Amino acid sequence: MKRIITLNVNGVDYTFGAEPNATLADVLREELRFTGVKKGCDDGECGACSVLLDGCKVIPSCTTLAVEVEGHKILTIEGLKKGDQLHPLQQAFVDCFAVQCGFCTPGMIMCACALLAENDDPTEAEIRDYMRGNICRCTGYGKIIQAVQEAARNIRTAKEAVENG
Amino acid sequence: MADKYRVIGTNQLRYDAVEKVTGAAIYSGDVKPDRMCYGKFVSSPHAHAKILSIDVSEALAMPGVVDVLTGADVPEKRYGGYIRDRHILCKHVVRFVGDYVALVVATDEVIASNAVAKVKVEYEPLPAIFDVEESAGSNPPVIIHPDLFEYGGAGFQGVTEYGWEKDRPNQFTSYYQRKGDIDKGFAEADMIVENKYTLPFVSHCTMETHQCVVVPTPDGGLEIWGSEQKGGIARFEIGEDIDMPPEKIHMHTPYLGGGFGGKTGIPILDVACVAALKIKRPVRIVQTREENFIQGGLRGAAVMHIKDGYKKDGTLVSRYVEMLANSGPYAAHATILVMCAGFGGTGNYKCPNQLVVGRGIYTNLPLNAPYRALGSEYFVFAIERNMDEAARKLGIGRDEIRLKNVLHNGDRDGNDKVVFNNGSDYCLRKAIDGIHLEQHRKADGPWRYGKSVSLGNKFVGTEDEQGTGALCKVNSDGSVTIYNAHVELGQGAKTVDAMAAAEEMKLPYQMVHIVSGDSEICPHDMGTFCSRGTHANGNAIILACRDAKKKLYHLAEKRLKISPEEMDMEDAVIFEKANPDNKMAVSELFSFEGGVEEGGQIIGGATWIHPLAGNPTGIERDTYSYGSWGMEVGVNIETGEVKIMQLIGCYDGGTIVNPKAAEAQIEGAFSMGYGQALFEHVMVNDKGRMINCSFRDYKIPTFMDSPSTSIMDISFVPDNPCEFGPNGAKGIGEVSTVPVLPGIANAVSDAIGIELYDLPFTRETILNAINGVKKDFKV
Repeated sequence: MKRIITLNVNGVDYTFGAEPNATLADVLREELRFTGVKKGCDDGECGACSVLLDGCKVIPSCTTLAVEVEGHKILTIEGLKKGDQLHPLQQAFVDCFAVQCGFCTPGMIMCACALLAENDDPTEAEIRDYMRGNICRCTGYGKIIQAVQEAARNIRTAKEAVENG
Repeated sequence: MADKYRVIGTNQLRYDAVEKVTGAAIYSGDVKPDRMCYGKFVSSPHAHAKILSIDVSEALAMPGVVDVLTGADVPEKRYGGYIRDRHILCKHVVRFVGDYVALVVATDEVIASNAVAKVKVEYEPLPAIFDVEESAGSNPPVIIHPDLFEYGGAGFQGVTEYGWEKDRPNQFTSYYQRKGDIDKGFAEADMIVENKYTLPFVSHCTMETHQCVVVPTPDGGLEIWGSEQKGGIARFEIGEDIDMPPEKIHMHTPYLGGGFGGKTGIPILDVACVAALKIKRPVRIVQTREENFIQGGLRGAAVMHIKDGYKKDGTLVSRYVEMLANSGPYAAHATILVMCAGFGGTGNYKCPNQLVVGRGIYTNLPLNAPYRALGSEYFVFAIERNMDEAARKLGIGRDEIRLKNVLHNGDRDGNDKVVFNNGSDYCLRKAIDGIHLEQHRKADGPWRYGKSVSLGNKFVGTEDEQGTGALCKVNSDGSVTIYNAHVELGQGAKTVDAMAAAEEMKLPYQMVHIVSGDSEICPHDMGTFCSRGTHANGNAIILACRDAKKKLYHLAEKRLKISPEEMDMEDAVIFEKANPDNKMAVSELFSFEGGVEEGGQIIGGATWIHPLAGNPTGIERDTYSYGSWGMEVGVNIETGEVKIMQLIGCYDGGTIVNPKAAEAQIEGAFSMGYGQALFEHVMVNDKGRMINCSFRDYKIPTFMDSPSTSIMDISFVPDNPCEFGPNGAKGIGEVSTVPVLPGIANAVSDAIGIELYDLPFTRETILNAINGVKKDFKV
């Protein structure tokens, strides 16, 4: 039996009917059409479906029920840009050749977003450990690590520039 | 190179990167037409069985279930690309656990999944065969296709004509490559090294599983979105399989979430087409990860027998190498694989007497699919491993034995082809100079250290007679749009294509647009596989651009008052070569409404056919890419853990179009090869069922495994244009994995001082070897 729920996705409230057993990934993809949320395993093992909950917590949307996150703010890859401006992580993934097939990319970036919220200068080992749940078959991870570090650097520089007026 | 080219050889950012980092990139499974239904397979629980009956009544009665298709709904004739040995849905017999028995179509994916359990299939189990050596013989206990010799075959490149041997009933193809006289060669040899090596089944593990959406069109045709690497020929094959003229099939190949060969001829397309036509509604099939593992096609396992004869000084005088390709129950691309693998066996070293034999063998194990390098890695693994053992027995350096036998330009290879554009020697020396095999790190606690050098090759498959087409449309601002069938799998197809066009038109890279993967508007190309993409499509784009320029110059004649021969263009300005001040912008040819002032459009078009096109077994020369690694590893003799200490890689991909993108390919390929060498393998129980069909149980390299790029030194053979390549480019996507497997394997064997023969070298394998326990890998 469908339930009427309201989800806040990328800053907008959406009200719709959802089965109680519908996953957040399926609702985002099929109902609300945020197809940047990818499904690589349906089992929480690959990280492609990662989204941010309340701005900082990264969750696998394929093993989260849509009804569980009612009232929370959900951020998908589609909500990361500020106007026409790519988020520093998005820009760094472009600049560092950290993208190949692109299927893991949205989940990678969302996970890295949560990491940088906790740690603005992560070492290679810290990045590897934090992002261990996100699988990529194309890159061998090296360029993704470089992109995360490049984004962290750019975010710090921008922050310092603001602080120094 | 900087002087010669404007764009080629520079690190242009990926054409598709912004789309992909913003979530805007569209993959097949993202397409959702109105009234779309979802298809879910009923699959065989038996490795081999007769289907006695199928009762769909209970499933059909479920609310939301639209139809259930069975073998009765699909054409009577068999299909299968090369050898037509299967039905779109099984009609009478199932031949592996996961074989396609029925398709439930429902308005909701969950309903479809639930209804699958309600389809009642009665089977009569038959004896099954899993062991490839047993199956390859003249009297196997099970014959998987009793009517094999009656089956139709495409006769592609002569494969079926000489591939069948009546005394091997489960062998669907064979390939023999003979040079000299091996018996004479072995008689002349001072030492013989003979071994058996095995490679397991492995999964491509593309992050996107196989997916498609099929929409019936009002004219009785079909519109398809599919994660399919066969960009151009897919609709012709589908048309033949389901009896529809290919012109009525509109095929889209949008972004693919990885391919690695595994999406070459995905089996779900035909079924989805039959279903959509029957229910007259769009049908989407998206595999789960488990389905992808079990039904999606695997890199087949293989047993390699190798016998090498050497002179005392390390000269290779005779080689016999035979592959038994465990190809599962349907021939599919393993038909061509055994031949392509054979090229891998000849590509690097000279040998006056050589016999390479490849056998494609049926078993009741999972379906095969092409895998990055199409078999080259099998022969190269066996040859490179065996060479290390030979060097040790001869008491000469493992670098020396390779340098002594490596092929050079002008030599004749084992296939009696003349070697050209071969950078093997350069790559090998780079690896040798970087890794210093003679310097050994001292043992440190439980850690033992070892080194290796390895060489690999992959031929570039562009010698087809179909040709590759491209169009170049000139836009009113002087930018151009390229239309082609090159499939973007993640390898960077659009990037290298845009760079080829920018170079030829002397335009900034940003002024080239790419439209690809739409059969209604893009010219034909076979498909994106076999390291052919950059090579074939780049050549076609250059020709199309030249055609467009010819048309531009013709239009500019009146304005510039000179003949086309006197013109050149750069940055969308046409000018007189001898007097550059006599010029006009391309945009001036257009009216304010975007039409060409003289009338019409400016569209260049061309088809590129390889100058040596034809049967690759009959031509003089084959194009190969090459690569070499020098490696150092550490092995923990208490835990079996392997850590990579140092990596020196050098590749010959002809002119490197985009060094950063090529480096990215090699880093990724290293990771894939690392997984294959050390832990990836499909495990099957005694009933033939795959038991590690999830990322939890089938491990692929994660952030925690892949070696840091800080210990990786990757370079390319400089100033090395390939005679037939667009601006001299070959292909890099496949060769990149080939020398990785033997490189790691040889370094591990070197570290522990024990020769290992069976991939993967898991911790268990390594510890068992150290403890003197022999473990036999069956699959």
